[in-house]
Amino acid sequence: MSSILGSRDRFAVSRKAKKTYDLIVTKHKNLKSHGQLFAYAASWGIAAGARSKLKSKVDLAIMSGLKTKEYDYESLLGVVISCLHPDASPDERLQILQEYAEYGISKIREHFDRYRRLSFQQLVDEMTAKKGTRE
Amino acid sequence: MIIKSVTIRNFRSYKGEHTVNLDVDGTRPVILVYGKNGAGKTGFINSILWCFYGSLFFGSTRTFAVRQVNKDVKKGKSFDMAVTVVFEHEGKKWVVKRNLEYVGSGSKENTMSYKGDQGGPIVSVDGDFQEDGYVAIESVLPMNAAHFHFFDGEQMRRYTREKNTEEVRKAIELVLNLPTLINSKMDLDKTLHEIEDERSKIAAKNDRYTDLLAQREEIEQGLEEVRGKVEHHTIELNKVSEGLSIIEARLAQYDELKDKIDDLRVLRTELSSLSEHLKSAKNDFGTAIDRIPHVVLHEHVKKAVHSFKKKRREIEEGLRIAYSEKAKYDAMVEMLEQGKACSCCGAQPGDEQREYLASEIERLGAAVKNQTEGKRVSSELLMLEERGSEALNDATSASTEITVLQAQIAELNNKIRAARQESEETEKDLRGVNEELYAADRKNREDLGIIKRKESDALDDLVLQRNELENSKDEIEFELDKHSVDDKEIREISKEKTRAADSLEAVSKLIDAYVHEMKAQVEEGSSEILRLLTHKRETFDRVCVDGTFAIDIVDKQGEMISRSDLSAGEQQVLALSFMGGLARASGSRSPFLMDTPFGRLDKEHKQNILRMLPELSTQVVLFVTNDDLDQYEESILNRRISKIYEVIYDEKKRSSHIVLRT
Repeated sequence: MSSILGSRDRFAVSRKAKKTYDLIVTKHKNLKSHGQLFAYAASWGIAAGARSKLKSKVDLAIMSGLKTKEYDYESLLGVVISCLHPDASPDERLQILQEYAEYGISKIREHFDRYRRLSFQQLVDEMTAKKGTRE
Repeated sequence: MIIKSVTIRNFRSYKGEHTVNLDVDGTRPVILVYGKNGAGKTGFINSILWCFYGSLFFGSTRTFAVRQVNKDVKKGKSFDMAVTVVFEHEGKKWVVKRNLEYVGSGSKENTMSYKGDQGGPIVSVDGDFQEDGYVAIESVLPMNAAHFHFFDGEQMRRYTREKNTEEVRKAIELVLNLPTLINSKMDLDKTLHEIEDERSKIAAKNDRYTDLLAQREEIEQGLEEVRGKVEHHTIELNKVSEGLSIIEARLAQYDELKDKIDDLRVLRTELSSLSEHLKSAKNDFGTAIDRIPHVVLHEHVKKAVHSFKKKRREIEEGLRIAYSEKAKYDAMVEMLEQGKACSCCGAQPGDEQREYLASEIERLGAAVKNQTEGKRVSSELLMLEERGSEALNDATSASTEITVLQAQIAELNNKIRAARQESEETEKDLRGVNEELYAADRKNREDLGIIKRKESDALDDLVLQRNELENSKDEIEFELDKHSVDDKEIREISKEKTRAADSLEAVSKLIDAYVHEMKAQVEEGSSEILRLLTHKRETFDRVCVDGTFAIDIVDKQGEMISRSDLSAGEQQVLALSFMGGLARASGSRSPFLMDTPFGRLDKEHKQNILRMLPELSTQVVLFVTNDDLDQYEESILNRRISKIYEVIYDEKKRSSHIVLRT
């Protein structure tokens, strides 16, 4: 486990959000893992500058899911959170990250509902264009 | 006219020069000249004729004068022949001379050359030489009329012969002094002919003008017709061309659409290829979706790395300072805790210096204490920086890759959209192609093409025709300008013609009236003389001169007596009556020279003639044979005879001469 995001080996989402994760990951074969989707969600939240509190927190996946030989979301997200929240401890950083992801997944759900699938190109456009508000 | 004298030189039987005085007085107009046959009577008359006219007796051709030269004289190497007639006419003395001189040598007549004769008689009037002797003589006694005055008795009867009527007519005209009127008539006639010619020319010109006008009208009609046809065919051609254009456009569209099938094939292939590319691009995008978070957080990462770097540098700077301060801290601690003197000045620190040292130690102690934390943070920051840099690299490449892919996919989508649209449109257009209509259009195009060619050919012919007609019209206009006739000119010439025609008519009428009058007078005079001369006074009523100037006798019953029914003598009497009547009617007092006129006449006729002779003219020279007149008959003339001559041929001298008897 990386020291950037604390000592926990799992990252959590809200119960409601988990359904979304399950649905979308099932729907899209090219989405490799929940962790990947989590990274999307967290990126959206960070890009939007918006977080949502987790209600009915459940563990989604293990932290190692954020870092594979194809991608390293842990470093990416960890570095960004560390910069945005320099005073936060690693565990706090994870918490913050989860909140960013919580916001982000709700937006992804909206996207999904609109397009009935993830249009990755559209997703990129939306994620890079829109700024959200903190909940 | 009264012949005064005749001088003959070397003429026929008259060798040498002989002069005869023929002057008469008013009461005795007759000169009798006796002579045997061959004495030279005829030659005498001929000499006068030759002198005046260069010809001999009536009916003879103009013989070569040389034949008249006395034969004896002609034998010489040089000779001349001359006749001079002196006469009085209208109070003036006329001298008429004609001569012939032989110059040169030669044995034959046709090699001889002469002068004189050919130039006509030499005429002087009261001493004034006339320029043209022929004209002068003709003005006194025209040649044709002369034969009524100088004649052979045997020849008299020719006046009664049908074949001579034209000659008789001309002679009558001359005797009756008609030439002036006739000449005027001829001049007028000539003028009329000239005017008529002029008018004809103008009329011809006018006719030509009228023809040209008619032609122009015809051409204009033709032109109008052709122009109408040209217009009609042009319209038809335009219609056909328009129809053809529409069909051509449709066919072009069909062909274009049919060409589009190939394009469509290409398009589909392209579409397929684009779709493959799109799939591939999407695949690539798919592989790039791993790095979507990198793309999204690219800027954030960049910012973070930069921040970490800065902070670390700050911390490391702090650490460096802290490290350098440690030695001072250790020294101060040693001084304060161990009570050591200052290394600089060696003085023991006082309270004040102790307080200062304590605060410094506190400050430096915090720094030393923080050094460890700083190293830790620096280390952490370094780790963040490094991981951030890696993430940044990933993010940068991902960002680029995804940007490229996005652009590629967008482009491909656009192309695919455009290709699909084009394909849909083409397919839609192709569905609109009706093969039957297409075939029908092709057939119509062929048919219309044929019609168009025919119309075009017809139009070309008509245009050619129109151009030819226009050219013809231009030519005619040019001709019209040339032949335009001034109406005034026509009117003037017509007036002139009318005037000339009127004058001619008047003169003709005048002449006709005069001739009629003269004819009547001639008839009257002739009839009177006939009654004097003939012994058939109970039978013969009068002389009639018909329109052809044939002379006839009309009996008491009004019947025409055919000339063939008259004896030779009666014909002679008739002729003499006519000549007498003519002489009376003309008022001409030209002399009569008659050569033996009594040949076929009986005594009664002869005597009647003798009685009448002195009334014939102011001068009558009668040539008779010695046996022609007996004493009684001579006595009839006695009181009217001025002179009596005899023509004698001297055989010794081989020459004739005339001697005066009384």
